[in-house]
Amino acid sequence: MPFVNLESSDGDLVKVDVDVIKCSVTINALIEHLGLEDDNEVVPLQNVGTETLHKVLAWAKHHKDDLPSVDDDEDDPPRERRTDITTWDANFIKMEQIQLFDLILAANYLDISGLLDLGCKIVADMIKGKTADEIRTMFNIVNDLTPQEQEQIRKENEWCEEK
Amino acid sequence: MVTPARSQSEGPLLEEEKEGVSSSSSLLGYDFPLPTVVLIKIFDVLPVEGMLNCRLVCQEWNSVIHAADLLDIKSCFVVDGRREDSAESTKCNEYMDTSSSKNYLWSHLKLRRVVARHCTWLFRQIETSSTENFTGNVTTLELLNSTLNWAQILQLLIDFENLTHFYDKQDIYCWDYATFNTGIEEDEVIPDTASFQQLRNSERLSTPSRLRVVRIHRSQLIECTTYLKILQLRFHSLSQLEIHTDQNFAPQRGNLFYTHLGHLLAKVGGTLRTLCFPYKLVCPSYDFRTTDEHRIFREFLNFITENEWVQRIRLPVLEELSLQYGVIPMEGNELVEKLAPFLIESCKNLRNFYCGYIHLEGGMEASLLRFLNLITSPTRVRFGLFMNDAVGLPQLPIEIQQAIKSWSVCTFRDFAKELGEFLPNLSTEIFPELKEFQYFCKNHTFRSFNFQDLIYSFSRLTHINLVDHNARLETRHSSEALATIEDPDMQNIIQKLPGLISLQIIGNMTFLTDQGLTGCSGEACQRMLKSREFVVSEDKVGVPLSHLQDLKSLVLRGLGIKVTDVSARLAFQRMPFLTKLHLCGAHQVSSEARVALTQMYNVTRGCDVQF
Repeated sequence: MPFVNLESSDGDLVKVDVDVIKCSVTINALIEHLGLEDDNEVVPLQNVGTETLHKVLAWAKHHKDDLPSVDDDEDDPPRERRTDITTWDANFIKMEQIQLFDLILAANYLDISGLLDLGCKIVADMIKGKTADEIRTMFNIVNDLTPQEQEQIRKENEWCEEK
Repeated sequence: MVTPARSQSEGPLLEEEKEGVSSSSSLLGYDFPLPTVVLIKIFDVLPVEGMLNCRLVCQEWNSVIHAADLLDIKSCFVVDGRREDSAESTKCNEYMDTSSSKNYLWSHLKLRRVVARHCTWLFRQIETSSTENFTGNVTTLELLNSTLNWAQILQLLIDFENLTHFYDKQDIYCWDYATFNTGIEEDEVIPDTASFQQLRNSERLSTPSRLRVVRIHRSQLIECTTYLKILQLRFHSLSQLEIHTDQNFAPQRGNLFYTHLGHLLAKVGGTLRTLCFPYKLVCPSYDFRTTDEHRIFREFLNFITENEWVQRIRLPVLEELSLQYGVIPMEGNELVEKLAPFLIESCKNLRNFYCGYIHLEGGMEASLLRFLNLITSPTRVRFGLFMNDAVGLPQLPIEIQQAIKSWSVCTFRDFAKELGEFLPNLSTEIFPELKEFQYFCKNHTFRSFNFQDLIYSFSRLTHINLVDHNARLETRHSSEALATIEDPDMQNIIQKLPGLISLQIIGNMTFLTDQGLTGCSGEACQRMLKSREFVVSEDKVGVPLSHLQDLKSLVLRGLGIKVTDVSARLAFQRMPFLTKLHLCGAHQVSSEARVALTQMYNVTRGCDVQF
């Protein structure tokens, strides 16, 4: 089974089964590009720390055999797909905010859509039901909207609802 | 050493990536680290309410939501008549005067329960908008239970020059056509009033329209006919036309409807892809064979032949055709001789054809089979089947069984048949495609019909309509209805039909209690009502209605005083796709609980909540 060496931004080398990391469009494209003639080829990941890389690989390993999503029976009326998070994913994603953001950034950088979706869903869940104030506190964001701007947005929000 | 190639989706994020966040410890106290493309993904999975809060977080978030058009993609501008004051100066007037963005943010305008006086701002905008782009911005106009008349609607259809989608939907059995059809008689063309002459002279009628999708559901056929007249004037590029009524009509009215439909089809034939008409929900009377109902579909077939639709009307791109009638008589070979040639000649690209509800008496199934053999692949044929207590069901060939998508049953006599007598061997094996079921009864009960058997046999039903004919009008008191739904019935529906998308019960639910709706024991419900603390207790005896997570439309008309705040607080929570929640008659539900429920669904959820 072919392997590839990934180098984290901390300089650590991790040997990975190509089959596991094929979920990363970025690395996949690279492997195809390289042809993988040399087992000692090193792929540097400047934006992914060792800790995060191991998390990414743990997720990739678990989801290695996931089937690509197939369309439902055409009989069923098109409906928004239910977006449940599996128990494994829910446990996996339990981490500090900093680590979560690192993981999302890594998923974005490596172009792993499943992991990115999971991360975004978790952040969305954190935001859900919170006021703007609470969101700012949670993420340590500075409010740079003027009171007039806020008033205008509030007014606009009052007049809209889901389609 | 090689450097990973950047994928396209990362396009604009170079800067943020370069900043680098690989050192986790540096995160806190710095800017929010996630790049725009990730932010968009997050906002996209948020419900609208969450996204609206995000607009208030900071400049960046607000501008990301705007730049990605998320506000317009996910939400629409809504005027709800119930929120408006009765005075001339409405809240919306005020908003339009004081807001700097006005309606430029949204292209979808929804008018819910609006009457003309709530719309003064709208018509004022139209008159003065020569330089502003308010009217030009609207691409979808949706009327929900609104009472504007045809002339006002025509004006909107013409003045919103970029309009592509138009909907006018009314609840079933709500009749107010008098307002809608002011100044236009059924058999008249559009009257040449002063304002209409002005329209005609301005040449706006002769410029092509962008309108593509039209969905009408008005209670009276007269109103639908008026719409057909309006659409003929200018709107000739339609790709989708759904036009429905929920009341039976006399054949002469049908003739007018078909005449104008024919005129319209002759004009839009080149572009039309979907066509559905004329009923949404209708209950044929017991002796339908001697009344008009039986003739309405035949009138249509005659109309096709007499007016030579086969020669005159070409629908070369039509993919979906749905003929929805309360009852379709199967007599002789009409379907084969009149309808089939039209489908084959005029609708050469047809993919899905639905026709219901067919009233099939013994001996006629051969004719239906011939029809099935004529309309062949790639056209998929689906039928709705009609039965009442006067007619049983003949043995059906397997080809017909497999084509049955929906089923309508009416029982009217005191000692009507029950389900098992209609169909002794119910099962999904016999009707693999059955998804929709409606049952009308008069002087009879849901229970004696043995509705439970149906639930047990068809766990894949997605649409259920149970209507007690005596209770269908809002003015009637539900206790006049014989057909009751009680706690075990409701629990059965909730537990056995997990895939329900639409549940509508119009009947006598005065015996239905919180237990049936919430699944909490009667004692627990009592306790909660006293303590005013609404938490699901340990001693559950069932499941709450919100277990039906796919539900889009829930209408329970005829609830009684046994349904209280406990249900309002615990039965209808968190159904993610719900867009219609009508609970009628639950007079014991306090105004606080009503407001809470309305808040939960109506504020930014786009769900029409009504008590």
